Amino acid sequence: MKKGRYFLENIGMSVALSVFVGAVLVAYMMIFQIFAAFDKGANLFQQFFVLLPMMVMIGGVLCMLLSSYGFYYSELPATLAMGETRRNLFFLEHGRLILTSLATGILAGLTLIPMNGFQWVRILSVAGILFLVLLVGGCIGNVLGCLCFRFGKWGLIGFFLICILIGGTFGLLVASSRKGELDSILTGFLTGTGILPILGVTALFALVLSAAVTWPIMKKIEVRF
Amino acid sequence: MSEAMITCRNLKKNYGKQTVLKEIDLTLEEGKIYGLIGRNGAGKTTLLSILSAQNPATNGEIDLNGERIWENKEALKEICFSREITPTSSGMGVANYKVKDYLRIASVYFPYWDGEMAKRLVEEFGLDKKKRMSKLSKGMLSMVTIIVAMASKAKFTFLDEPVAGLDVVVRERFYRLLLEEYTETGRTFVVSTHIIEEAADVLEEVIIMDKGRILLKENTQELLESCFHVSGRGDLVDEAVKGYETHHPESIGRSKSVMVRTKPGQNPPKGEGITVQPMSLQKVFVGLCGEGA
Repeated sequence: MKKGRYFLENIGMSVALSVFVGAVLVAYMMIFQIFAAFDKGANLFQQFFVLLPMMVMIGGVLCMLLSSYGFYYSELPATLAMGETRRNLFFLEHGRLILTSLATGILAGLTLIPMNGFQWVRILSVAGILFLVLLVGGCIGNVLGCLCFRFGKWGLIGFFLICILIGGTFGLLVASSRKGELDSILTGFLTGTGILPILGVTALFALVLSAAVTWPIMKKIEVRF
Repeated sequence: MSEAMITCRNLKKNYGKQTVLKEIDLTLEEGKIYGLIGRNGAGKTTLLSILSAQNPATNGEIDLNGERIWENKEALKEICFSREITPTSSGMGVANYKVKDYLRIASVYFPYWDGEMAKRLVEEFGLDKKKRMSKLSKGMLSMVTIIVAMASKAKFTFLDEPVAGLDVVVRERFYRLLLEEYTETGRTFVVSTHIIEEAADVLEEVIIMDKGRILLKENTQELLESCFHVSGRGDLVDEAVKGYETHHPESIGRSKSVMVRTKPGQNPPKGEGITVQPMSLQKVFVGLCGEGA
């Protein structure tokens, strides 16, 4: 009972943080829509210099905020020192990632009701996109936090190498697609049409990556105060 | 009713190429106060953290009543290792918790937690619960670790340098508290300390470590009764201690002193022109682990 209440409080704080991050994302989407309306004729070059840096910045902020840094540096050593098992903490952290992303997505979806009424398709679409985006960010951030905790600066370098690999793969896929245009993919992403299955696969991949990278480290992790 | 015990066999711990613990065999029985003493870097904290499953061993097995303790929640319920808290300059880490939050985590995770005792000790030590631990002095951090250790009510409780930074009045209070708790509950305590003389009166058994090995594990009183300081003229001392186990010889001019350890049933050395004196636990430790030991 005590442990359950403690975990719920933790999840509540994580949800609050995720809501803030979600609000930043929604604000960005709205800014982009305004920008796109102003300059429908902007070419890929112009959009690249505005769109991509902002995406990278927001993605980076997202990952840092959800980097589980606090978990690895504070909560994990304290609870391991008091008899918790590494297995339980591993499942707890991933469970928390899923639950907080889900709760934030649902909350964001519900905020559309005053504006759009009970358009469930749109609400579920927005909720689903936000849930999956936060889950991807949280999982990648979890990898970042774990690698940094275990390997220090070399963990940070390793994390960026992983990001470059994934980003490079994505870029290659875009370049080799029929259209080869990044803006149409990103526009589709932002307006939520047909992006859910791709995001779902990405989120699943991120979850598997997070588990595969963090478990071998966590199962032998040492308590350091 | 069988007694609980923690057993470790052939325990080894490496950090890279450096071997910190070498083939340690140790049994900790229920209902005793052990003193774990050793020089800096002997491996005391590493040993305690492995015995409490906070760090993995490179080799060896650690059991509680025959069951492995590693990742075993049932076994870990009976063990508390209240380790030294070190504030970091970055402000991150465990030291960033407030005292009340840290004690709250302890109350969640230690199943036998005594909240009343924790509250009483916080008031007695005059700790500000709302303060972050990174803002506390070294002595106050020691008080927090003592509170967690005592209030956990775990069957096997390990304390790593619990009196570091404490003034003599609080140290005396700690030793009294330790004895009171031991008398009331029969818990097992393992206390690692450098302030040996003060702790000697409360330690039932002493474990001396040196360079990653356990040199001895004995009843404190029996150890003290078997160790003697022999001093006098060099040749007379050498004659008197023939056939005895000797440690830490020191020579100044023609005078010589040496620590002698007698075997069971062996009488202390005697002879003309030599002085044979009992030794304190601190002197025994220096004799066994000091320079020239």
